[in-house]
Amino acid sequence: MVATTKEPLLEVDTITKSFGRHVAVSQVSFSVPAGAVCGFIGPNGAGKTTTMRIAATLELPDRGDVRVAGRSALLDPRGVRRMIGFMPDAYGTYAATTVAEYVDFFARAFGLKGKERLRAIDSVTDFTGLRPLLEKPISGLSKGMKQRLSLAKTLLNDPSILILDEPASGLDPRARVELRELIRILADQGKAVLVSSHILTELSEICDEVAVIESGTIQATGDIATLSAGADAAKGMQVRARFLTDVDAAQRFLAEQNFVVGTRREREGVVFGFKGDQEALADLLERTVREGLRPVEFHGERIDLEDLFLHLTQGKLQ
Amino acid sequence: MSTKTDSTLVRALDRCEPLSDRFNPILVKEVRQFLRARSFGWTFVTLVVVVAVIGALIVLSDEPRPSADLGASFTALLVWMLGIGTLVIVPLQAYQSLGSEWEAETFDQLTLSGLSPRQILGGKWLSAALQSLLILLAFVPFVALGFLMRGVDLLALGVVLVIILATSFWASALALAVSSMARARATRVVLYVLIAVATFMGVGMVASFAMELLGQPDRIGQAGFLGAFTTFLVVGTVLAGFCFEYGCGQLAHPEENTSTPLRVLTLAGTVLVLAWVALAAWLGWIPSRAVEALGALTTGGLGVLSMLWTAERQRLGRRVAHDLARPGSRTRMLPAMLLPGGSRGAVFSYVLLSLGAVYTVFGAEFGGSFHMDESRWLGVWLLCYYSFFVAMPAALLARFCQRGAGAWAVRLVMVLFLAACVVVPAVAGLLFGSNFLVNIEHPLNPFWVLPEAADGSLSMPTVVSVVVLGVVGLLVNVPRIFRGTKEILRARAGRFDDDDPAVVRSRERMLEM
Ligand SMILES: Nc1ncnc2c1ncn2[C@@H]1O[C@H](COP(=O)(O)OP(=O)(O)O)[C@@H](O)[C@H]1O
Ligand SMILES: [Mg+2]
Repeated sequence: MVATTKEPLLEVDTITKSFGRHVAVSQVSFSVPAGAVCGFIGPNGAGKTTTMRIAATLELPDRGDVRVAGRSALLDPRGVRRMIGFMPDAYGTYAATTVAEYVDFFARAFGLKGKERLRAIDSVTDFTGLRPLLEKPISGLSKGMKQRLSLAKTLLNDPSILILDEPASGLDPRARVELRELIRILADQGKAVLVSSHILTELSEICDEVAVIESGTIQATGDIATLSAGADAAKGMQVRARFLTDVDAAQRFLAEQNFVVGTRREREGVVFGFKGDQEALADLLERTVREGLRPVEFHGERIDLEDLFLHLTQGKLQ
Repeated sequence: MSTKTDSTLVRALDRCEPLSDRFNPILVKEVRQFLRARSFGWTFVTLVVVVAVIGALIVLSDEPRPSADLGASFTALLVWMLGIGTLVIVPLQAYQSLGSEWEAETFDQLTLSGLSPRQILGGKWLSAALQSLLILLAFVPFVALGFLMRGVDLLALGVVLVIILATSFWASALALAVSSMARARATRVVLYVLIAVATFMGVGMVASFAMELLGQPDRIGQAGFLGAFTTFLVVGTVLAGFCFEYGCGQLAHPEENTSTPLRVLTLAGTVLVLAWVALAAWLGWIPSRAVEALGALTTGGLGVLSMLWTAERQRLGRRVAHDLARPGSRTRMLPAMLLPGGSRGAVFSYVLLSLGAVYTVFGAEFGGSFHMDESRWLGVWLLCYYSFFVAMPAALLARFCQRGAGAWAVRLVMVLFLAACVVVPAVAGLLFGSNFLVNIEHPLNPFWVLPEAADGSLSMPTVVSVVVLGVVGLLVNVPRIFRGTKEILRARAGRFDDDDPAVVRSRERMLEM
């Protein structure tokens, strides 16, 4: 069931955080409503972990604040901790501990007692499929299973906001698909989910919206469709064409046409940017044929997620 | 992974499942861990085996010795082994246990689970206490053996065991507090070694005291012993409580108000210790001169601890400021001197040390022997020295106290300032040929003035100079005390100096809720 309210459950309000001279996060703002999955995308070192740790009250922002269901991470950290589940990208476990003991310990730590605790443990281990592994030592779990264990721990107190830091990194494709399904189910239960990744495609299928961050500043926020449309308009589409006839002649001809920008040779074909609409593209194809060039491939592709990402970020390395 | 024996242990533990809900979760976890981990078992077995072997050697050594001697040397061995187990190994293990939460990156998870710093540190402390108790229990048969060899007084043995157990609890609290202060690996290693050395020396002291007591058990019956023993327990417990609370503060969220609990505890602890000493004197357990000495000692100790509050960050935290504005919040009821901030810390320290000073002046009366010796003013001189050597530098350097590292630097400056005040006049004395100064016998040297004062042989000029130092320190602090009080009044009225619009928005949202 998707929650009806669109009141943001998680509000990141102009946070800035420096480590020494280095500004890790600068004026970052975005929000996530209930029932939505928000992808937090940016290259390594962009400031995703820092932002998430601030939202989880583990780090103090220099300026700005994060509100969780109206509670301030700065003024009421304990209240915030009750509402959120944070799954860090790297997390430690205790030596010589079984899955059951690990989950049991955190259930106790969350203040669950007696039957209530057992019920919570059953529910999260069922949900994450860890039931058969309860007596296994944690050190023997695969990466995917460790992620599930971390998720199980995070879900014990039934948080309404989930913050997952790079949950898919290092998972095999199957585990990744399964993780996405779990995340979707959680969002459908009405939780707000913020999930980070340095790979956009990892998340595109499950995200209702994304916030793109680079070098500590937000580059774009919104749903993927709107962002792609905006990028299309700015950058146009990209057309790939291949000809049976002379490629140089084709390139020369195309370069003179309306809407065509930046032709270049790529293998046996020509690749060019096109700023016109579909109608104009059909016209161009017709003219090409009339010119006596013989296209065997003529194919305009809308900007894809990778391109969108490259478009939104300048690829600055840190 | 787990052997049969420990899985039965763990299973036995699981059988107490419903009961375990009452326990601190950290304690449950630690017990599970140390039952499974080998280290504790090995320590345990090694200690017992060493005692058994050496004990056997003592008993079997062909040197003919009287039985009493035998019992005494066997008991000495026991005290040493017990001391090493409970006073060195257990506290070091507690130190490591907290450190491992950072090294294994599990600490954040504990924080997020909603466990309070008190629960986390309390669990660690309880588990250390439990280990000490287990070690003690394992030694009971040997203790009985030592007793049967004769030459050992049962009461004295009991007192020794109580002292070992109590110091073990305190040492664990201290180790945890120290452990909470440093997260960098290199620092942690240095501190580990320091604790190891300190606790080992502690074992030496406890053991030598124990031997003395076991050698002359009739001293337990003498006047003064009961007073000294109980006062030792009260003071040690208060100090351990302080260490514990300090450690909790280190683990708390940086915006959390960690200063107020520490100040309240210090105030309560001071009152408790002073009241206990007075009661003991009234009961005739300690001589009235000792009341005065203990009062002065307490005042001096508070002066040193006051370095903590006096060099705190000046501003109220944003969280505290928000709390002050909220109608019906508990923080609102507190007197300003208990709220965080260096200037309010200075006021708190002045009040606390004045309490100690007044107590020292009138303390001897609790023993029913009022006297007009000059030594009763010791507390007042201590107050003056606090004002000059702690409060004054803190006020002058207040703006460097914004961060933790800066505050520690300021505390270091206080120590250096004191050293300079002692030494520089001596150098000047060399130049001007003043013997008093060369012998560092001047009012800026508390290490000369205070023993003189205890002897009651202070000259009038010295007395006046010390009072002037105190007044100067107080005057330098007046402006910041004024500002600090104003800040509280503004916060109570709901007016904040926060220039961060996001925080202002949060505050409005929170006040609506
Ligand atoms: N504790 C820290 N101390 C110093 N620098 C840090 C710390 N944490 C993060 N940084 C720096 O802040 C920047 C952002 O880091 P992070 O938030 O981890 O990025 P991301 O998670 O997007 O990869 C990086 O340049 C990183 O080096
Ligand atoms: Mg990261």
